[in-house]
Amino acid sequence: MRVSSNSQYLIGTYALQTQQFRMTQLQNQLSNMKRVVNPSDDPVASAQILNTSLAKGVSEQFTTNAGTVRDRLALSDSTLQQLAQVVTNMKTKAVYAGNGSLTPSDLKLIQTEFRQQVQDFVGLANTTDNSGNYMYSGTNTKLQPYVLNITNGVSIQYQGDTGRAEVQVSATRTLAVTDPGSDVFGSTSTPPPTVYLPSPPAAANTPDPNATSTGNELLQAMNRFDQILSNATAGPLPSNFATSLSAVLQGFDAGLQNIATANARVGARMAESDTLEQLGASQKVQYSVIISHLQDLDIPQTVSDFQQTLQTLQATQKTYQEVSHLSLFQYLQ
Amino acid sequence: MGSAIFSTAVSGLGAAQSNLQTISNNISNVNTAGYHRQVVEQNERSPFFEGFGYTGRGVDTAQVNRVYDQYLDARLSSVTSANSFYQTQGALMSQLDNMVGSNANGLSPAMQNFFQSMQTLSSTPTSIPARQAVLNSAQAMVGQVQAMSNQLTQVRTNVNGQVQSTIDNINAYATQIGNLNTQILALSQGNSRLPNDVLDQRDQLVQKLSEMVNVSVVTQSDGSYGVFIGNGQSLVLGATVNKLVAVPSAADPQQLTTAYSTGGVSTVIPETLISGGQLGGLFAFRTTALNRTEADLGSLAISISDSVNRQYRVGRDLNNKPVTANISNPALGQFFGDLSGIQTSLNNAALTAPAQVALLRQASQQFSLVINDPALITTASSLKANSSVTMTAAKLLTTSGGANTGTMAVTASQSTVGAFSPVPPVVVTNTGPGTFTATGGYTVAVSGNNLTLTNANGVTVKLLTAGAPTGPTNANVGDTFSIGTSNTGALTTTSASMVAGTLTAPITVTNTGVGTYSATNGFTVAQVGAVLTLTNSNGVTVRVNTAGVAGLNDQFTVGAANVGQAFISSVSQVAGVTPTVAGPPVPPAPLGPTPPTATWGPLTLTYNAATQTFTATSTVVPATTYTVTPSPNVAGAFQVVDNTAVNGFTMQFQVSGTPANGDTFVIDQKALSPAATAAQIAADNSQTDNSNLRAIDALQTQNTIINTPSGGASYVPVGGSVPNTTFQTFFGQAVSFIGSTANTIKASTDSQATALNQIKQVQQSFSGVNLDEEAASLIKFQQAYQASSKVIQMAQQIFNSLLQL
Repeated sequence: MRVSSNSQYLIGTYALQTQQFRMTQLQNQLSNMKRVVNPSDDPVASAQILNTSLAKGVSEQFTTNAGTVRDRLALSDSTLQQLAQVVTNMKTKAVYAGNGSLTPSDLKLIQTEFRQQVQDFVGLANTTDNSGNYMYSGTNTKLQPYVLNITNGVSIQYQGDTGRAEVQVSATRTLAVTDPGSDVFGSTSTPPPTVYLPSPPAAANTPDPNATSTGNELLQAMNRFDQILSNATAGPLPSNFATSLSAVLQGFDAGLQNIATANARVGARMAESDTLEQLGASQKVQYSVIISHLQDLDIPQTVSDFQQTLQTLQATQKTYQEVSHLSLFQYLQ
Repeated sequence: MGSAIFSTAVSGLGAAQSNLQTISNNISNVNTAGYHRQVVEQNERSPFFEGFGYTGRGVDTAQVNRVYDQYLDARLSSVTSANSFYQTQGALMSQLDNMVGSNANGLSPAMQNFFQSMQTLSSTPTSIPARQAVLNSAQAMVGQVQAMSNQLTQVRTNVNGQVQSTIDNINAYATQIGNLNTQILALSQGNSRLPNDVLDQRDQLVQKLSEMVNVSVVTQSDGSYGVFIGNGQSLVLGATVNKLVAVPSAADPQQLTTAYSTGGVSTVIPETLISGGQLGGLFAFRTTALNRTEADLGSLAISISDSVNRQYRVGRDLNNKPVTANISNPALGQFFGDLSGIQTSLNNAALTAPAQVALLRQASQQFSLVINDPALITTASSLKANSSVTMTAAKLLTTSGGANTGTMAVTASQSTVGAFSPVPPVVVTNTGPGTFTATGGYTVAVSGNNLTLTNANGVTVKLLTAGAPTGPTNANVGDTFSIGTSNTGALTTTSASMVAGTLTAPITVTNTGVGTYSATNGFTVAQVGAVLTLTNSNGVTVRVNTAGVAGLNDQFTVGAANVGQAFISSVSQVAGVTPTVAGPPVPPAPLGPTPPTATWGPLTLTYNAATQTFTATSTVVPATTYTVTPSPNVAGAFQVVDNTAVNGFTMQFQVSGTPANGDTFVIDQKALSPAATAAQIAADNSQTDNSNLRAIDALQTQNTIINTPSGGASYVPVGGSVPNTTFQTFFGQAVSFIGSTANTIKASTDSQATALNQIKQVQQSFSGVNLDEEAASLIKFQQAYQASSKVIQMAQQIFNSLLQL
């Protein structure tokens, strides 16, 4: 085949360019330590990297959220335990008040101490978190949940709502970080509308002063305990004192039960957030591994490719130089 | 004889000289682009008859030919054209590729940050720094979209510039070819004696023209070239040159296209007809890659703005205000700039793809953040749930209309506060459209289809109205309605309480005689003094305290209170994404119906323990039906869908605890200015209610957007398509599209470069100059010249020796 002088240069430059381009590609990959620098390097992998980074980010956020939930619930957990302690102390006072040998002045003393405990209780139920939000006012967190009026008997009224702040901890799972006080402690200390003793027909018209309404037993018991103490200190011990005291104790028990249930729910949610945090941590590793598989460079392979290309390039340069020196004119003198 | 030797030798000298001339021309032009090596054609001269036979008389130089194969050159120009077609695309594609390549600074992480900042806010909805962080990340996302849009605009401007300069080049080459056509015609001395170097120049211009655009060349009978582009538009015909012009496209003035100018009239050449070369490459890049990328970005901007705005508008902000209350112009009450106008324009099936791109480009350019006050982020729901339904006992109310001319009728009453026992009955009179007065010291407020009567003592009664169509506006001025009780006696119920068991449905009690009563639902009634005791066979016992004496047939109702300890812990409206109404065009996303609407009223949810679901009813709109199903988005939550297509909306609520069968819950909207007092608004201000924010945030993982149709014929999904992908997956697909297009073009560029190299080799091995060959020829003809000189010298010696005789 006939070869023109230009052909020699064409072949040489084409080979040099192809190999130099391959060199820059490998060099770019090596300097970024990434196999996929631009989407065109591997279009499928680059879309997968985006999607996996998204999934990783979402998973990380859920893990962070689970941590937030746990921290917030930890605060609620310890507050609920303190509240349970206060109610237990109240109950002790009520048991002590049942001691028949107490004088009206002893009972007066008990009432003073009890009212102090009620203030402690309301103070704790009005606890705020680190952002100054009330913990037990539902979602209406700038509103003090419980208003205590102690001048004329014990009156505790709930002002919050029944909402719960929920935080997303997985794609379809939310965990509540607060519990409305109405659910945990009750919403009013006012006794229910007149309830009659269930023993017809003789007592049909006798109202039951110890009646409580479901969910409000604790607050209504506080109101009633204060009431019977007032009645007892005003004069001789009323005949129904023991019955009333027993109803009050029942109320405290129901309240303790409610607080314990709420505490158990908080504990269960803390446990769940712990589990989710651990799951999140292992998911993060998994996602990182997937991303690494998709975009990271096979270093030995690339370095060996680089060496190979370098050698080929050097060989091409050498042959180019040799061939370009060949000319008949050198021999024409 | 001697002179014959002379002339023979001189002809040899001449032939060698013209060969040497040609060889030196070949050597000189070894590096000239488009040069075809030339060879001298030499013939023997006619012989001379000498008697004994013919003796030769030397050599004639016939002509100088160039080594030229028109098929090889045609192949070279078509491969050159294809090569520059892919190279042009490749260079532009790599710009796009690099632009989206660096995902560390890209839009995808910006979107992710936006949703993450909302997640952070959802755990502390009252925190102003967390709210500000949401706005900052939203601004960053908007900035990314705009930056990408600007870069795309730069690429487009760049393409326009190249289209212009390519067309200028095409015109310049065409003009030169036209000139050379004339010149060659003048210089040619018959068919065999052609000006080779001018022919080379003209062929080289055709090669260069091929680099710009694919052309077909036809040699005319007079040897001039006819050059055609597209589907036969002549660019050059002999000396006539028809120029191309760059004109803005009618569908999208932002893109330059090409038109054919002849006789002062320019006709646009469809871009599909321009194939190959730089111009074809520019058009192909624009149609396949650039338009699609711009369309994707625009669709993304529209979708984000639409779905976030819809949800944003149904919530309440930090101060329990609805979005519309914050700004005088409700149209401004948005999170992102409103792109629904563009969306509406896009839903025109007659739009061409470039026109769609022009609109979508506008969308990504106009994508902006409107909200600037962090307090305005609507984290809270606009709904609230009242779970503490207490037991009720009330007199039945009766209503009657006068001789009215309007169609409104008072159909029922509900939720009274205080004892409503007017004697004589309260008369309500219509005084104008939607305004009423009442007797007995009552004032009338109209809210939707409700009339609410209130007196100074706070006694309140709510009345439902009906008519054809429903509503207070259907009363005529002067129409009267009398509201009272049918009871003749003065007995009122003061309170009711449960003694044993649970009451799941209201009981109606009727007086049947002195001290005797009947009751519905299998209850028997015993009266002791002012106390009625209602008992059924299951031992369920209710006490009702009364005052006064009942008349014969007087009726009372006793309502049930909730038995279970459950409450609704969150309730919010779900605005959803663009509704998927069947049939083109896709409707623009209407903003979700924000309560209150004319048909909004409190919803009563009743629990069914057997099926573990709720039924929903609205006393205000009895015609509306609701479906309650488990929520697809949040585990354990329920979803209420209003089945009326026009005002249809979706709500989501979460229940805490286990309700008892028949327990009811009421969902109402939160207090709203100016109807509610400041105190009511404050009481409903649930700052840590993040249910609306969670609904916005859920958009991240919901299918909110429809994949761009592939093929490039249209960039807008057909009507009736259902959103099938998330924002980020959509963007991932856009990135993947750019990547794979760039990849394909890279591969084609490589293979075309190889093909070009090969055809160049073939063409060069045929027409190219080989210096060694020329050197050998040089020696050959030098020797021939020397030999001829020697012959002359020898002839001269012969002549001299003859003269010396």
